[in-house]
Amino acid sequence: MKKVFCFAIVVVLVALVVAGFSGVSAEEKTKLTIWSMSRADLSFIDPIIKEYNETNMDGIELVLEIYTDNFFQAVDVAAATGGPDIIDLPNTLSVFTNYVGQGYYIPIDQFMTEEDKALWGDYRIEGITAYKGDLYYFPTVATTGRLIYNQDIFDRVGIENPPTTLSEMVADAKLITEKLSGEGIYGFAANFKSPTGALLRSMDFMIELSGGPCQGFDFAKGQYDYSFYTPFVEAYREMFTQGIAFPGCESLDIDPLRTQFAAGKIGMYISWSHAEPGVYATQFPTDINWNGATIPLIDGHEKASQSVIGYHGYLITKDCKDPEKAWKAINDVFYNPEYIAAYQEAGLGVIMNPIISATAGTPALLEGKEAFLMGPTDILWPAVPHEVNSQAVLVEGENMYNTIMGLILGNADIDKTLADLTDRYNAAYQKGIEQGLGEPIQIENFNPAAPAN
Amino acid sequence: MNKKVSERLQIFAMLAPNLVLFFFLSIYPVVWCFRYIFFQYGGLASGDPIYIGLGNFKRLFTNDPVFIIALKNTFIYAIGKVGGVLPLAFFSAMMLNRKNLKGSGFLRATLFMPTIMSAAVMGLVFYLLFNVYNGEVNKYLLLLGMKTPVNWLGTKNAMLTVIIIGIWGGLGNYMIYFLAGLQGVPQELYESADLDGVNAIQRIWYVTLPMLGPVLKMIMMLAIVIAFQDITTIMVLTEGGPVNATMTLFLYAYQFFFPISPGSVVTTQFGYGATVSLVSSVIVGIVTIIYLVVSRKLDNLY
Repeated sequence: MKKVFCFAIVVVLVALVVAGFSGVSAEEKTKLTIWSMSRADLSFIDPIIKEYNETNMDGIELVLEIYTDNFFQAVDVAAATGGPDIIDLPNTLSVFTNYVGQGYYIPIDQFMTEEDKALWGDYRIEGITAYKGDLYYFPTVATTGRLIYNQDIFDRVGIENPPTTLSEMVADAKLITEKLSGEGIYGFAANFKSPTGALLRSMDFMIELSGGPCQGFDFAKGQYDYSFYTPFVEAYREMFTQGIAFPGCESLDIDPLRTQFAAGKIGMYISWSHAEPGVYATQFPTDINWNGATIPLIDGHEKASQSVIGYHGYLITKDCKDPEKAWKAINDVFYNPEYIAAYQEAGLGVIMNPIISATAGTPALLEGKEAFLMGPTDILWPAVPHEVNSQAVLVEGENMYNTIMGLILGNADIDKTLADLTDRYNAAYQKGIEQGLGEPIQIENFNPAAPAN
Repeated sequence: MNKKVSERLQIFAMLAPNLVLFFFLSIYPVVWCFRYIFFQYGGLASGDPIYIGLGNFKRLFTNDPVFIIALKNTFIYAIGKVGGVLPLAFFSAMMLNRKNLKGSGFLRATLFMPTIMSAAVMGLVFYLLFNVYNGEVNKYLLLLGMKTPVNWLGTKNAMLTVIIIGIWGGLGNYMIYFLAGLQGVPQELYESADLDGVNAIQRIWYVTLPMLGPVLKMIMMLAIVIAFQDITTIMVLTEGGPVNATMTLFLYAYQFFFPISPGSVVTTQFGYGATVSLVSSVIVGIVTIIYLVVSRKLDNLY
């Protein structure tokens, strides 16, 4: 009996020791937490992370945590009190700019090999991916504005190609409304319920592509200047006050607009390149024959380039337990060209880096809709002062989007109001510099066709 | 003496849970917010607050056209809503207070329903009803012979539309208050009034309203304060637009702290937002005090 008891004790002890050792080996793995907003990508990313966790020889375990609308508040709190190891940058740049100045992120230059530099070297852009010269991330995918149009409606009224200039766009919209408004079909629409949301995706890109300022900021002059916006406001005022545009646009949100487009009631509108193909494939499936095109230019200007918003960059935070391992994991998984190509092919995003883009296939979603891929004129622009630090440009009175919205729907003097807007933005910009919150930005020999060089 | 002390302790012990929560969840956040009125401060991630003295007040009173618009809109909305909802709620309560009314329980529940609905859902539902291109309201108006659809949410009509929704949303609530008040009016008074041969209007004017005096005073005060603070429906339905047509004081203050919709980009300005909040609260406070002074008579109507 005694022997049996001793044997049992030995068995239990051995079992404990074995369990203990295996426990130690599991604990040796460095757990790296990633915060992300991309719930939609979860079914694509989850198996990849699982496989990486099982196969990597570096003792890294990635843990993906998905946040929804509370992401921004969570990052706010994390930057003050501690948070994840890695942050997946959503298409909101402030997640980078708000915290980089406080030293919340770790620069990645120290980790990059020559090979990495060859692949990503062009992406060091001050205020966007870099801060005071140090590089922090590379955006893997990007989005920008595109003209979305209903080919069936164009065919019915005899429009052969999507418009390439603002005046052509107004003329086409007018033609559609004149011929088809009896059936409830109108030429043009915009989601003006949120002026910022509507004009950020349309007007800003149109002005940039025409060689104008970026969100009102003229990099060559180092000043805000809204005088370039006059023809845009005039054209939109014509469409939105003379019954050419879809009725009720002033209270229209983007989703109700999309449902009306899907129902074949809208000829054209301008929206994000990353969103619309997926929306009409799953959210609002439609039988209409639709497509995208480059947004129109302001008349009389040469095509320059339009800015893109790059996202799905991976930021290593100062709370990271092992930045070197974090870089290793990010580079092996998310910055891996094969992963990025597969991400595009799955229809989840459009690649920004032309070297990787050349190796990737077109997703089924974009077959025949290649205008939604990134082209040679879709480029990262440097950050304007209010992007670098929004607190350094606190404009008194209405912001640019609300002011321009008021001009489009109202009858105030356009030149006078834009001059006042210019003055108010420059006053706020100067005040920010005087307070030490902002720094003057001016780029000598600025070329809007190659803004980052 | 000891008994008195223990009685007091008992009272404070019973009040304590409420007082503690009230202090930490109501008073403290208000004080926290208002201490920023002299600062330029953008919140957690924006660096340290910068002391700017009375700069926020100067900006508010000399260089903020939207504040003036919001102030005007708030009064239009409050007067429209209170002026619409109180008479309607009163007459609904009068109808439902009749003893011989069949199905009064069902009617009460139906009228009360909007009160328990989420204001955000209401905003979305009313968008479907009022939108110009395929809204139900316009469909019926066109059927009734109207030539062109009404742009209910356009610059000209948006305020009227949010007032209509405000009235609809508040009706049930005030009806219940009035009903409670009406049920406290002794039946004998009506009987003796009937013996004196009064007509329906005299009955209301000389019996019902005087008996409702103190209740009416509280209902009106609540209605005024709530109308000044209503923002949820407006936020969902119009986001204060188009072009500030439905921007009210508290919505204007709110947007300096939080984005109104997920798509909107906001530069948080806690300092300026706190100033707008403070001035708005003072305005509502003044209106309430004026009302309380003017309405003192209501207490002594009979």
